[in-house]
Amino acid sequence: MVDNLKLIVGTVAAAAAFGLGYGWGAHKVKDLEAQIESIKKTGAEVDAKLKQSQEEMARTLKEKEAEFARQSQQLKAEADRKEKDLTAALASTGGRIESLRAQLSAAQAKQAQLGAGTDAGTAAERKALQGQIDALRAGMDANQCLALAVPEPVIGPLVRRN
Amino acid sequence: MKPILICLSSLAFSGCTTAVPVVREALKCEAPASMLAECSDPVAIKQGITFGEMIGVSGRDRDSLRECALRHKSLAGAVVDCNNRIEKYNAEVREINARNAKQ
Repeated sequence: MVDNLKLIVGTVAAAAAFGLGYGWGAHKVKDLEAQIESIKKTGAEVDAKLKQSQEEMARTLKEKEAEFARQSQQLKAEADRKEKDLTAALASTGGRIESLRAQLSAAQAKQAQLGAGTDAGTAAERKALQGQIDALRAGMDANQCLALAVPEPVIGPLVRRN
Repeated sequence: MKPILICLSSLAFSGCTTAVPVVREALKCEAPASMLAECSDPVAIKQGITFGEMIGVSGRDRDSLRECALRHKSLAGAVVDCNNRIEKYNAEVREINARNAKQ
């Protein structure tokens, strides 16, 4: 009889202890679950913002890249055109020198004619002719200069820096 | 019997697991490869170069410098844009944190 009573009381006490423990534990877990839910929500929100920001950044960079490609292409085209112009200009230097020489001869001949003739040209005419001759000489010298090698003491330091 | 118990236990425990959010990576600022290319070296000058050729060398170097300057300008612009975007994102995160702290 006493043993049975002990068993019943023990069982009831154990059930009560289990119930209390369960209730307390469930309460704690509920709090934790709420916290986890809040953390998850925040995480999802930050994830969405991160994704949106990353996409916007990628879009901006793509636009920058396209703009850079366009400007770069423009520069390249301009550089190619200038290179061609320069090559053509340098190649025609010889022809230009010949043409300047012919013009110079003609001007010099005219100058001699003006000086020798009885109806010598006016001072203003002679001055204008001299100016023309000087300009032709300067043009010829400048063109001839392009074919000259840069003196070693001048170009040496640049060559060594290569 | 034992394998069945193991399976049942695994199933029961898996119900208790919670996926914890991991710390995310920061925003990536991936500048286009074309903007990261190095600038060209100056054109080599050979001994006995003429004044005419020097004009060509100078022209090519100028073009190269112009291209390098454009690349640098574009890259600097991209970095500024990236920083602005990162700052905007950080402000949004700060706002979320402030809101959470109030709760």
